[in-house]
Amino acid sequence: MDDMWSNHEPMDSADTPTDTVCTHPSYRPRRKHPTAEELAAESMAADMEKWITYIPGDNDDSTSEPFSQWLANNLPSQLSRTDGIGRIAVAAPGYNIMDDALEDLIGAQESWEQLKACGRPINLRTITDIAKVHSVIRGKWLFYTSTGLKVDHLWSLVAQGVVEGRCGISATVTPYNPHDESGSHVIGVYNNNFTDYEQVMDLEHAVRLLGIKCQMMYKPIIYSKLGIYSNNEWGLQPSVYKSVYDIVKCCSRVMELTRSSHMPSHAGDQPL
Amino acid sequence: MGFSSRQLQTVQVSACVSKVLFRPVPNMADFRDSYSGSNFGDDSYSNFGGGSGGSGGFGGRSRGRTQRPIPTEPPFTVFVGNLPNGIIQGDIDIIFKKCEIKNVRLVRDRETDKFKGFGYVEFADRSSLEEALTYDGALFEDKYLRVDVAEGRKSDRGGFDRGRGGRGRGDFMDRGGRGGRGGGGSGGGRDDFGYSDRGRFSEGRGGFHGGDRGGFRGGFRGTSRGASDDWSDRDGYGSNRFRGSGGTSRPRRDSGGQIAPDLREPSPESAARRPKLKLLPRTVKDPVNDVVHTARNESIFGKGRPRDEPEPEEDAEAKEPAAKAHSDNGDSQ
Repeated sequence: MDDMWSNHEPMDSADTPTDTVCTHPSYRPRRKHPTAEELAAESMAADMEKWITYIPGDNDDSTSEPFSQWLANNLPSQLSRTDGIGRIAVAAPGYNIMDDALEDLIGAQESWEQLKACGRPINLRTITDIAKVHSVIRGKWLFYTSTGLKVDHLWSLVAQGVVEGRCGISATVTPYNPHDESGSHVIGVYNNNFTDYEQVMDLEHAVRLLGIKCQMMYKPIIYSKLGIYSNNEWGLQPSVYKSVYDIVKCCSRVMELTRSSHMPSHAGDQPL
Repeated sequence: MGFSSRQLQTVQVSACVSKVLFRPVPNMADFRDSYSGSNFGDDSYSNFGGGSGGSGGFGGRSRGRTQRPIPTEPPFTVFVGNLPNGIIQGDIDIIFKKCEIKNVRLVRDRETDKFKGFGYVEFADRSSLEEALTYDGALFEDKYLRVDVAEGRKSDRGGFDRGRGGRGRGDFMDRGGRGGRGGGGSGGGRDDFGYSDRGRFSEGRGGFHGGDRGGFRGGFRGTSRGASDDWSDRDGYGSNRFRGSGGTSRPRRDSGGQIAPDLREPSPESAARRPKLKLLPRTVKDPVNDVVHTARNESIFGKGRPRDEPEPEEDAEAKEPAAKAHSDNGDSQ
């Protein structure tokens, strides 16, 4: 099963925009910001490690472990990166592994190399072109949270929602990483198509309905697949939307972080 | 609320003392071992306290594989930070409207009474605590809330373990109060819950509070070393430092030596720049004490005198000159 999921893109455990607040300041790393290359390498390494996954209908055959039990046995704060665990992941009912296989990652990377070599502009538009051509168009809402009870609870909310089909097509969380000074985890919730604005906003709404209230960023997976992380040499902004939740008004505010003709501009109409 | 919660603390504190008295005293060498133990990183001090199982430490500074136990029994308390100014308790109720709130404490500066932007909220049950954690990072008015499990219980326990000598309850409680206020230098008297703001949110200090600890330590020392009140005031700080610095089991010396930055002696230059205290000659002619004495006597006993007033004769004779001498002293000061 891990193989099936190995197609998943890396989580960007340190790809933090400076203003992302879902962790306490004292948890905020006193690190120098990692380079894009370091982030890509770390992400790729984690990607190739073991994945702990739950796919509804799938696990029933093999382990017949109830989801609640699986969840309790695989809490992110209790699993360590140092034990060779790369990700913990769940999928929505009806998740089709074959959809992942349609993603032409090799082709996308080749196109990316060509793009860099040919001197054409490197921006969201050209990246989006590559994504579309090679069907690497999933995206995810991601947020950061600190280890311990907090990540366990938030992940439980998300995983439960995904497995019950209330939210997204899949979700992942990074395990506890003792080498990460920030002690933070990244939770990502996926949808099929980052160019579909309605779908992206629906997913945002669905995640909020699960009870997640911290800041979230939306990131097309193409950036991770091409190894483009924050602080990259092209000045690309891998996160395209940002969502904050106002607890007084009980609603989200979604901001568009990168304007491009290829991204829907509706987000710009949202209150800032 | 300050008063009642202080009472609350007192109750908790005294309840704990009785426990402590019968608890095996952990060997200090064990503490040291646990510090240097390879399984613990620099966060190991959060387990300080005789393996009482430190809770908290959720988040950043945790290292090593030891996972912090989740609070499974009351108090279920969270730290709430980055609160806007002018917030009132009702706002906390609004924020955590889905949670069953038991107690709220908004922390104010002890001297200026200015709200410090954070507080502690205790919930009735664990599910409320978990729900509260989802508010971390949410936008409230124009600020992003910070919510995390408050540390405190574990350090209380640590205190208990080491506060084994807490004999003499009156002394103990008295010191506790003072300790709390002393710690206020760093956080404004966290005497309700004793949760450490400083510990949690200063980098790598470890979550230990001045208030309770000052109290415990004061009591502890009081029995063994006869610590003065001044010392116990400082203990609030000292224990913070002591903990944060990795903690040896010789608190007193270390804590005394490492006074927190804001308590440090001023440099000679800045001391020289300070205006000197000028004492003016006393303007009240008669000794104040005498006036009070008389008034009190009159009001309570009428013309009556204290029973021990009639002294041996020599005293009676000396009385008049003595009173004069006293008033002279008063003038000359």
